[in-house]
Amino acid sequence: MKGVLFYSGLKGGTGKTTLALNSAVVLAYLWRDVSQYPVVFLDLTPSLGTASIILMGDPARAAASPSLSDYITGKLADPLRAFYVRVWNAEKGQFRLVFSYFSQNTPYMRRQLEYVLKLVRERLSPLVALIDAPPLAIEGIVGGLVDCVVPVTTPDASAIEAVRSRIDAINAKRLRPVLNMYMPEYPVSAIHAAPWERVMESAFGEPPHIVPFDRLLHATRQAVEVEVLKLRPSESPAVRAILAYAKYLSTVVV
Amino acid sequence: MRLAVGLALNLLAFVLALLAQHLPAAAAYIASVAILVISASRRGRQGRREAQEQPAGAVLTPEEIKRRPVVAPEV
Repeated sequence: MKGVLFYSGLKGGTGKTTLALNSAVVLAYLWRDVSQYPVVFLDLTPSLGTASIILMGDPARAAASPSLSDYITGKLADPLRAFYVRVWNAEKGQFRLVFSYFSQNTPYMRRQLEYVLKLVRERLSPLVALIDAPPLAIEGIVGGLVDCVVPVTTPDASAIEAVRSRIDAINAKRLRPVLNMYMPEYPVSAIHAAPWERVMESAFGEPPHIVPFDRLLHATRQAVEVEVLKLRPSESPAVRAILAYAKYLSTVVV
Repeated sequence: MRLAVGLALNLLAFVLALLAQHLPAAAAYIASVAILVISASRRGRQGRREAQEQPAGAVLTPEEIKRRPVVAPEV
């Protein structure tokens, strides 16, 4: 099992959850015949992250169901009892995603997360565990526990700096950075007096994968749905870009 | 093109008026106004048509997205 962390430092609202969740769903579909549980998705956001609400389908149900918060507070002895399987039916067959989340703001330690990942590896044997990191100082907890890290930023000097300045503390292989919500009408960073692509390249050492701004993604988020399952690539440039990134992940992670 | 002809005729009408050619000036002015009005109304119709031709996805509401069936996320 390879652990992949989607990371934006202390900066929130970079589209990290959208990229992480959609990538998890695409990989779960892609590897549906390879393994029973090919992908495990961990939403480390305290107090119900967006991904957990989307996957559970209802915030009230997500809040009331056992979560990793119950394991951390001692209410659950086996953390895998806080894991769920979401199943979708597509034309080419069924595919499933295993996931878990925190329903409350329960601070946890590195060894607790390490134990959860160990159990996931031993008992579920997924190909990958995709982890959606909250915009918190989480480097000390996840550092060394994941194999790869995906830097996710927006065309914003502070968002790029928030990732660049802390990503080395994760101590994992850095994958192609993602420039999310890119608007071609505003291609240049006024602060750097350079195109955003070049700013990203100079910060992370390679050109970014660009996910354009797309209103359809916002509408899908309001619908509490997974974008790649509801929007066709032909109608959404952002979905096309997310699918391309998931394909890249499938080649570099496993 | 129509806009340019209309503006030229309008200008001509004022020049003729300055030269005390009132009857031709009035005729040129009326013709220019007619051409300019027709041109403006055509532009308005074209703008409305372009607005209607926006892709259907651009106006999708969350409810419409919710009702859609699951699409296989092929890469």
